[in-house]
Amino acid sequence: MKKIKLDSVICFCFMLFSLFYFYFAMHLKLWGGKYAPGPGFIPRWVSGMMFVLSLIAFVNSLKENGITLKDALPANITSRINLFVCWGGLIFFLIFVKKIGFVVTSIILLTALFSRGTKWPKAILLGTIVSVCCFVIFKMVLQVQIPTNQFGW
Amino acid sequence: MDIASTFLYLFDGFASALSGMNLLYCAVGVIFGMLVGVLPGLGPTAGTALLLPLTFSMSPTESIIMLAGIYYGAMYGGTITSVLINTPGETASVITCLDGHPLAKQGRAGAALGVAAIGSFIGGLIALLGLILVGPVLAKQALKFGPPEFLCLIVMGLSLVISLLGRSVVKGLMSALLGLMIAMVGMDPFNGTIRFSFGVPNLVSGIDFIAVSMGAFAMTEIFANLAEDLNVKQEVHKIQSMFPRKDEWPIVMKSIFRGSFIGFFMGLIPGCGSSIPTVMSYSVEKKLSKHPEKFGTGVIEGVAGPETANNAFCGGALIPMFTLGIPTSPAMAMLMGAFIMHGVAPGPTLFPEHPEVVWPVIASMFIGNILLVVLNLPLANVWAQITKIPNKYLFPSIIIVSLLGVYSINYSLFDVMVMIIAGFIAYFLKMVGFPMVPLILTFILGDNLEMAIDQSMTMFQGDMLRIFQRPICIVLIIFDNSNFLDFIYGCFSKT
Repeated sequence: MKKIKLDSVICFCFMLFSLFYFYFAMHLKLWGGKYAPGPGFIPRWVSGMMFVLSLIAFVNSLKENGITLKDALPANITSRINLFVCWGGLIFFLIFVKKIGFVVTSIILLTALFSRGTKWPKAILLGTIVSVCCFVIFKMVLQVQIPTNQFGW
Repeated sequence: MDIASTFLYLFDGFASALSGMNLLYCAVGVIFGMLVGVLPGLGPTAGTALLLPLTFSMSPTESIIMLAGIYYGAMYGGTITSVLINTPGETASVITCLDGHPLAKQGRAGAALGVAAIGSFIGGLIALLGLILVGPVLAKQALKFGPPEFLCLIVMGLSLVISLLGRSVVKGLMSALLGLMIAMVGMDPFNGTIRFSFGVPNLVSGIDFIAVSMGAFAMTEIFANLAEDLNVKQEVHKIQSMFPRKDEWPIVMKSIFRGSFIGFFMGLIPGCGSSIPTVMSYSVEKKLSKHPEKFGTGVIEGVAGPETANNAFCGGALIPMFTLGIPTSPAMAMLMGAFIMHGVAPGPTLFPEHPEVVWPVIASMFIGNILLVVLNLPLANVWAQITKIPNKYLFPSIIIVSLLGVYSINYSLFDVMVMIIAGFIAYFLKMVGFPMVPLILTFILGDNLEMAIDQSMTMFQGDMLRIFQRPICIVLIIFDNSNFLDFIYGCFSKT
C-alpha cells in the first residue's frame, strides 16, 4: 500500500478507461456515408491515442518518485474529516434534496460544513441563514424551480 | 449608407438612449446582469433568458436596451467569480481563472477586476466602432467561412491548447484527450447516433460543460482548501490598488488592443464560441511575453487580453446578427429572440427599416460600457473584499451556490452529480499534475470539431487535400503548423 503511487493508479485507470471506451467505439460505425466519418471514427482514434499515452505515463510513473496512495488524503485527522464531511454532505444532498426539499437538505449540509470551523449553535444559525437566502434569491427572485418538499420549501 | 448619415443616425441614437427611461433601463440591465453573472452557472444566456419575461410590457427599444445591458453585465459578472473564487460561470471565463485567481490570492483581486473592467470597456468600444464603420462589409466576408475554414479555426484553437499543457506534455495531452472523450458522449452532431449513453436518458444530450468546469475548478479548489485545518488562521493579503502597477500599464494596454482585435474578428464568424477568442488571446499573450513561464501564476496581461477579447467578441457578434440575422452564440440567439418578439426582424433590412430601434441600442451599448467601467472600478475593491472572508465561512457558501447554479441550468440533479464526480476526479488528477485547462477546452471544442470534420469531408467528397484550394484555410493551416512546429522545437530544445 505504501509503495503504490497515486500517479500509477490514475494512469492505470486511464488505460482501463480507454480500453473500455475503445471497445464501445468499435460497436459504432466507422463511416457514416460514402465520404463522411461515422459516429465511431473520432472515438476510436481518441481512445487509441489515450491508451498509448496512458501506457507511456504509466511506465514513467513507475520510474519517477511521486505521491503514494497513503499520501493522497491529508495526514492531519481534522483535515481528513473536513474532506469526508464535505464529500458525505454532497452525496447526502444529492440523494435527499428531492425527498425532503432544498431548504432542509441545505441546512443540514451547511451546518455540517460550517461546524468544521465554528461551534454548533453558530453553524446551525449560519446554515439556516445562508440556505434561506439562497432559497429566496433562486426560487423567489430568479424563479428557478428548485426541488421543494410538500410544504413548498 | 455613407459615413455622414451613419454618424447622424448615431447622434439620434444617443439622444434617444440618453432619454430618461432608456438610460434607466440600460443601468438596470447592466446591474441586474452583473448580479446574475456573479451567481455561478448563470451566465449571459441564462441571465437573458431569466429576465426576458420582465421586458414583455416594454417598447422594443427599451426591451432590447435592457436585455443587451443584462448580456454584457452578466459577462462581466462571470469574471468576478472567476477571479475571486476560481469559479467560471461560462466558457469565456475559464481562461480568466488561470491568472485571475492567483492574482486574487496575492491580494491583487482589485487590479485583476479593474483591468478586466478597463479591458472590457476598450474592447467593447472598439467592437462597437467596428460595428458602425465596417460591420456590414465584414459580415459578408465572414460568410465565406465554410466548414473547412471553421475546421482549420478549431484546429488552431486546439493547437493553442499546446501552450497550456503544463509541465508534463504526456499528462497535458491525456487531459486534452479526456476532454474530447467526454465531448463524444451523447448524440453525434452529424449522424444523430447516440453514443456512450448506456441507456441513461440524461447522457443522450451529452454532458453539460458548466457542470464539468465548475467541478474541475470550483470544487477542486474547495476540496483542496478543506484538506487543510479550517481553524488555522489563514494569511489575508492586504487588497492593493484596483489599477495595475505603473510598470504594468504599457504591457496591459498592448494586451488590451490585441485582445480587442482578436475578439472582434472572431465575433464575426458564425458558430465561433466565445472560448476560442479568449484562448487565442491568452496564447498570443503568452507567446509574446518576455516571461511566458510566469503565466498561470498571476500575470496581469493573462487577465487583460482574454477579458478584452471576450467583450470585443460580444460586440463583434452583434454584426452578423444585426446585418445578416445570424446569431453566432446562444446568448445572441436570446437577444435575437427578443428582437423578433417585438416585431423587429434582424437581417439586411434591420438598419433601413428600424433605425429608431437599432441606433439607440448601439448607442446604449456605448453608454452601458461606460456604466460598467464606472460601476466596477470603485466596486472592484468592494468585490475583492470577498477574498478576506475566512475559508470556514466562504467555502460552505460557495458549495451551496454552486450546487444551485449548476442545478438551475437544466433543472437537473444529474448535472449536480456530474459536477460532484468531476470535482472528485479532478481533485486527484490535479494532485499528480494533470492540468485541467486542456480538458475543458477540448471538451468545449469537441462537438464543433467533429461536426466540422464531417461536413468538410462530405463537402470535399472525401478528398481533404482540396482544403488547400481555399485561401483562408491555407493561412490558418500555416498558423496551425507554426504552433505545432514551435511546440516540437520547444520539446527538443528542452531535451
